[in-house]
Amino acid sequence: MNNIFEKFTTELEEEYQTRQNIKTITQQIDSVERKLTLYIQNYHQQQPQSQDKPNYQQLLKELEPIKEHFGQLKTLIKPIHYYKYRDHWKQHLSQIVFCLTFSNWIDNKTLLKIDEIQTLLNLDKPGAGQLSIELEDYLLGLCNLSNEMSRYCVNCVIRQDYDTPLKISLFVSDLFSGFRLLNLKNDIIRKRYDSMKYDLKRIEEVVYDISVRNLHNNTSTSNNNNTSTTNTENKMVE
Amino acid sequence: MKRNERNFNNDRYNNNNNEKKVKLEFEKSDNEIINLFQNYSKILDEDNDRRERIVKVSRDITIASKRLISLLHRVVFEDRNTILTQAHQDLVKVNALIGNIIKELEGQEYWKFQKSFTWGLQEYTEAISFLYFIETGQLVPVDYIHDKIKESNNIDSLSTFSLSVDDYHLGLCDLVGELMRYCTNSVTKQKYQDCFDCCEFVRTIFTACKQIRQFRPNDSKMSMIDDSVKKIEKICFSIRIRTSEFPDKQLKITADPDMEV
Repeated sequence: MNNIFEKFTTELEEEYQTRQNIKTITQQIDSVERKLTLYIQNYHQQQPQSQDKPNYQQLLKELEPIKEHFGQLKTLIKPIHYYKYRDHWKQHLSQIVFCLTFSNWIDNKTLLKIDEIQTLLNLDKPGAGQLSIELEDYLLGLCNLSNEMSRYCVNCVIRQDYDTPLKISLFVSDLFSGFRLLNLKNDIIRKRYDSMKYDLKRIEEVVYDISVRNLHNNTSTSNNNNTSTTNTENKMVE
Repeated sequence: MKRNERNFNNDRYNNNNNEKKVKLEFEKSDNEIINLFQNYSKILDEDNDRRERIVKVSRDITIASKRLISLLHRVVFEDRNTILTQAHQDLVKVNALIGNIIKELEGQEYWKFQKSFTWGLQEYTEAISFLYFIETGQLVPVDYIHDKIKESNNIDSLSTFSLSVDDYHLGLCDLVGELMRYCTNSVTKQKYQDCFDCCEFVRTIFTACKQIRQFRPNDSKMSMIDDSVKKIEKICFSIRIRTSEFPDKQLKITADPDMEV
C-alpha cells in the first residue's frame, strides 16, 4: 500500500516540478506579450506625418522570441499533457492573437486566419498531441480586436482620417456576423461576444458622425492637403 | 432560455441595421470572414457536442457508482457473497459506461475533455476502491482498475484514456468518508476486527494525503478526511476500552450515545 502511494507521490512531485518550470517559461512569454501590447498602443497615438509609424513587420520582429519560448514548452512537456497545462499560457495566446490581427488589419486590411497565426508562431495545427492555438484563443483574440477597433476608430477621426472608420465598421460588422454563426454555450466567448455589439455600436456612431457631416467624401482632398503640408514641411526642413 | 431568446432577437435587430448601413455605404462586403466562421462554427459544434455527450455519460457513471457504493454498505448486514457477486455485475455495467468515454476520446485530447468526466471517474474510483478494500483489505492499484475496464469492454488498450493521478487521489479521499460509514456499521454488528483493519487502512491514506498536500493543496477534502479519521479512531478507541473492561462478554457498544456518528 505504501508502495502505491510512493509511486503516486513521485508522480505528483514531478508534475509539481514541471508546473514550476512551465511558470518560468510563461513568465517570459508574458513579457513578450506585454511588449506587443505596448507596441499596439502606438497605433493610437501615431501622427500622420510621423516617420516611424508602427507597422506589422516591426511587430513580427517583436514577436520573434516567443517562438523559442514555445519551443521550450514543447520540449518540456509530453505532447499528451499539452492540454493539461494549457491554462498556464492560454490567456497570452489570445492576447497575441489580438495584437497580430490588429496590426495586420491596419496594415493590410485583411483578417489573419488562425492557420496563418499558427505559422507565424511556429506552432502546429490543432489536433491531438499538438501544442497550438485553439479556436477558443483565436476567437477571444478577435473579441479583443473588435474592442480595440472601437477605440482606434475614434482616434482615426481625431487625426482627421475619415476613411478608415468606414472600413473598420464594415470589418467589425462582418466579424460580428461571423460570430453570430457560432453556436456558443454560456461560456467566456459568449460573454465577450455579447459585449461585441457595444463595440459595433460605438463604431457605428463614429461612422454616423462622419457621414452626417459628409466628411468622408472630403477625405481625398483633406489627404491631399495633408500630404502637401508635409511636403512643404519637408521642403522647409531641407 | 428567455434571456437567450431576447439576446438572439437583439442580435438580429442589430444585424438588420448593420446590413442596411453596409449596403448603403459600401459596395462590396467581405464574404471571406463569413466562410471562415462557418467553418469555425462546425469545429465548435463538434467539440461542444462531444463534451455534452461525455458529461452525460459521466453523470451516469456517478449515479451507477453511488448505487454500487450503497450496495457495498449492505455487505455488513447481509450475505457477503451475494452482495459481492452483485457488485461485480454492477461494476461491469459501470465499466461499459467508461467504455463509452474511451470511444469518445479516441483520437482526441484527453485533457481537453478531462474536466467533463472527472466527477464520474472520482466517484468510480471511490466505488471500485471500496469494493477492492472489502474483498482484499488492500488499496486498489491503478493498474487493477485499468485491467477491469479493459476486461469489461473486451479491449486490449485504453488508447488515450487513463485514470489520472488526480482523479485517483480525489476518489480515495472520498473513500475515507465511505469507510467511516462502513466502520460504524461494522461496530453495530460487532465486527470489531473489521473496524481495526479499517482504521489502519484509513490512517495510511490520511498520511499519504498529508504528504501529497505539499504538491496539491486540497484543504476542503483534507478537513473532511480529518473528521472521518478521527471518528474511526474514536470508535476503535471505545472498542478497546470497553472490551478490556469485560474481556469475556460481547458488548453492545452502540447503546452508548457518544458513539453515534
